[in-house]
Amino acid sequence: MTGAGIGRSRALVQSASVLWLALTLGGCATYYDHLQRAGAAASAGHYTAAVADVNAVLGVRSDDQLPERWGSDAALATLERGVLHQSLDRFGDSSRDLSAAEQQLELLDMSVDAIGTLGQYLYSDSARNYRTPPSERLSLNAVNLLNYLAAGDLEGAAVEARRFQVMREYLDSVQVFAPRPARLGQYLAGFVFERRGEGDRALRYYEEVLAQGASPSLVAPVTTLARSNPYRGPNLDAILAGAASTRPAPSGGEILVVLGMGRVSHKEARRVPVGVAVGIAGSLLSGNVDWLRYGAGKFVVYPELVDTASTLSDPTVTIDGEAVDLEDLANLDAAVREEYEQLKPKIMVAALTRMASRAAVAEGVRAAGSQESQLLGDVLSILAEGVLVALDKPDTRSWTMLPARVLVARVPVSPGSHSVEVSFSGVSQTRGATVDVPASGQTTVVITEPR
Amino acid sequence: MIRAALSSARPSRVALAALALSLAVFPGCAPQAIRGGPGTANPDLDRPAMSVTLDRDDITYLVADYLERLEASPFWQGTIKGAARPPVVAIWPIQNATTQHLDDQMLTLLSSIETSLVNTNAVRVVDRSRQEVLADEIGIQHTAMFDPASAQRLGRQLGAQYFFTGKITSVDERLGRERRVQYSLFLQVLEIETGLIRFQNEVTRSKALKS
Repeated sequence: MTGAGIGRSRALVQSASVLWLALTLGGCATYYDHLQRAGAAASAGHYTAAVADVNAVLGVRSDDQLPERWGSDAALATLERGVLHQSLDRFGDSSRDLSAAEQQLELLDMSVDAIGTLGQYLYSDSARNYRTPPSERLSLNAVNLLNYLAAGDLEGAAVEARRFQVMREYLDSVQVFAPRPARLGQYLAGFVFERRGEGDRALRYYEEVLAQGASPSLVAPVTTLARSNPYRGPNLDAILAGAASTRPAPSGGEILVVLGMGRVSHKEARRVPVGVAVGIAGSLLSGNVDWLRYGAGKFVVYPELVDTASTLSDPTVTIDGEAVDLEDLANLDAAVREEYEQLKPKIMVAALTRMASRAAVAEGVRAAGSQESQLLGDVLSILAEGVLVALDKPDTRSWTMLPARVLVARVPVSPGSHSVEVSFSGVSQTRGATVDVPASGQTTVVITEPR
Repeated sequence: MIRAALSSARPSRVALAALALSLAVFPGCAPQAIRGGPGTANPDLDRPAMSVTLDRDDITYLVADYLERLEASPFWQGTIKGAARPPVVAIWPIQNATTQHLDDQMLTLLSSIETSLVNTNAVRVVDRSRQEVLADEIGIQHTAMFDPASAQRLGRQLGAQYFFTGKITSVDERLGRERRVQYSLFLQVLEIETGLIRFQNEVTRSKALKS
């Protein structure tokens, strides 16, 4: 073979190698695609089947097995299973899953991901390690804390409350403020420390909860705690100003009901014309945008946030047959939406960059192939771009089973046995439990319905 | 033509790099169990930190440091060693006030303290399982939250003169790609009859995760 022939062959091998590399590292289905069966089962209230579906995604044989190889998808799927276990009242299993996933997500968050970053700009956002957004990061410890409360392990719950605080402080230090998802953790942390006899610490958390809106369930506890603990804040003061008319919390037992319902919005792959993407990317595209000429008449693929329809509405909680007030504590779906809207321009810039990268690769392949023949160059170029477009799977990764809303009720009761029941409009099934409340103690009932 | 060109071409650097990368991404080796510790082919297996939680190496250090200071204290040298008979001591559960779930580590810690105290031959140590049974019998909560009144009742029932108790705390911080947890083990010896603290000490250990 001549030197020119070897050169051409090398160029072809290089082109093929780029495509092969992309095929090796890429895949077809997105994270959400993999989770669709589990999501459908959960939406129908078949949580056991949903766990089995997540097991298949994780490549494990049993509900208590953790994946042997961790990566972004495995860590996220383990989080999903953690919520499903919680919905089945398997609090120990849920705690194991959430703790394991938390550890892996932290490692991913702290890792340097050079190959993934390169892949992100060549063929897919999902090539890089998953970076847990604040809404998920702050909810994780709160959701796990519920497992310990439900199991009556106040010490374990306190550990999760402290972990929540560490993450909050870290996010504060990098100027990330996410008050909406933080409210759930603040309320639960306050409850845990109140019950552990750390009144001042509890009052600090309650002040933060109240700073984001009224919380009728905290009026009596704050009034009681303030009698023997000095910490004050403007929102606590506002409650205490009306304390004359407020009865302190009775010294008997108490039932805390925490109801997680629905699922937060999820991401699905969408295609939009380049012009629309440029409009969304907006000012982030300022500067030299010559490279956009590659996109004339083309589409970009991106992850769009889509509402996860819930079959549940109008929850009612009764204790011993008596309806109790439910308080809307945290709207995690709204937090996820806010976060997504802030990130959307960046997501579009990444999608546009990938489009330009694909075009550049196709041009390279065309040039290499054209050394053999013009037709071969054109065919290979079209093939190359086609393969890379097919590989451009939008990053639909997110914690899809995270409850959309969390509601609470704190009810003083006499020590002894009580029955708690939760029902929803339009759903014949009810959830309930009979609990034993110790004198001057508490029992937490956690009902998670991710549908 | 393409097949001919591909088959006749020598592998390029890109192709070799791609092969190496995909091999790295999809390793084919199965995990292998190995034995470690003194007397094995891997004597230093226990040395590297695997996470920011407490491992046996940390617990051994914390207990050894504490015991060294306890044995050097005037309380030990005078009151304990000067007693006509070795005093009876009991160990109250140690409170976990850290950001880590340390259930297993706390059991190891308690067992390690118990073993070390027994081996001093200067005190007689109440078996912890007997302590729990008795606590149940007299209806007190034997949790990690130390309650002086309950401890006094239990101590009298056990015939113990001193309680070893304490807590482990942590300062957990993260900055960029680094996370550090600073552990402090506070242990004290309480005289059951008077409630006085006869000895107290703090031992520290830090763990970090860096990328």
